[in-house]
Amino acid sequence: MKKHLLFLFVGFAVFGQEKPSKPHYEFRTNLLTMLSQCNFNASIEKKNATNYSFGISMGTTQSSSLESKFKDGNTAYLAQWDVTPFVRYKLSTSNRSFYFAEAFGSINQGKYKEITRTPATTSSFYQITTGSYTAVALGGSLGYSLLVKSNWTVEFLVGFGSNLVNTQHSPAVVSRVGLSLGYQF
Amino acid sequence: MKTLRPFFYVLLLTFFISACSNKDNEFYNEITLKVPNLVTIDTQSSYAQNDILWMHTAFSQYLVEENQTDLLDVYQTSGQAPSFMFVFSLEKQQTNGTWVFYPLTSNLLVDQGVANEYDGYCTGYCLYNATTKTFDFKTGLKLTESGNYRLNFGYESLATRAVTLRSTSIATNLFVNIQSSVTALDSGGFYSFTVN
Repeated sequence: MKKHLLFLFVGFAVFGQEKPSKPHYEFRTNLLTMLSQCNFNASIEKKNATNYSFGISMGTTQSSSLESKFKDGNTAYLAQWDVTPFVRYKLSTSNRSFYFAEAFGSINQGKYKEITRTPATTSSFYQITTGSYTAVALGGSLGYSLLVKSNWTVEFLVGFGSNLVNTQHSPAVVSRVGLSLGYQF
Repeated sequence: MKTLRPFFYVLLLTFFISACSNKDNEFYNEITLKVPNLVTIDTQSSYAQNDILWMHTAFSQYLVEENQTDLLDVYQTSGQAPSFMFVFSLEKQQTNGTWVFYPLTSNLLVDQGVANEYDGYCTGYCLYNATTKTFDFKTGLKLTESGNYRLNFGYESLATRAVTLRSTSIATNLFVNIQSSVTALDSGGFYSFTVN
């Protein structure tokens, strides 16, 4: 009798589970920029049956030391937030660990600092002025994704882009560098 | 979809190359302007022992700037810097033809501004005069020994026959660099003379 009950229990346990479906989405946060630049960010990526996937990242930088460095130091720009849609192409066949190439766009906003010549009563003088910029960049990245445990992933990413609008007041280069922790669902 | 793969590589290559931009994210807290003949060396046709070689300046806080129609207020630009500084050094030719720094010590005669020497390099400070609204400096080099001498104003002197006057700005104020050609300098950037 006990054997029958055990069989029934194991049977329910085994056959009662649905076959796990392939994750369709991945949520990530970049730990590297969070720790180094107080850049709080999140990404969501939609995975397809093909080698292509797409997603969007959003981040905001809240750092008093970076603010101070911008105000008093020799930094010309202070990035404040960005929204970065991206498309990825998987370069490896494995789903567990693979390299990928990425094309991204970035709407980025921040502060800039410049020297301006200001007219006075009888002469002019130069002074440091600050302002805000909003720019749009296009760029590319290379990365490596690794499924470490269950649905958890670790991702390395290195990429650069160029701001294409408002180039006078925005940084020329937008970097996209990260060591991210992700969860697939 | 495979046909799109080269597109990714080209896109990547394009933006990696474009990332090598000349635009600098560094902020340089200074401006540079060129104003000729702000510093004068009172040259003589010949020098005897114990003659004094004077150099001086008294330039206005309002200077003409290239490509601008009005004057530039360097005092306000520098955040009311108390002085502009520049470097100079005197060398003496040795019997074997080499040039060595000639220590001036007590032979550096300061009349206006400040001048001091460290290890053969001299620094002159043109002090701001609020009454005349000028930066003033006048210092003499007492020539106590005979021989061949040459005077220069550091790197800028050798490169462009000019002296660089740099504001002694404090805190986060702008630094003002004034590159000023000196007529007494030769093509090598030296004022060479002989003391008999």
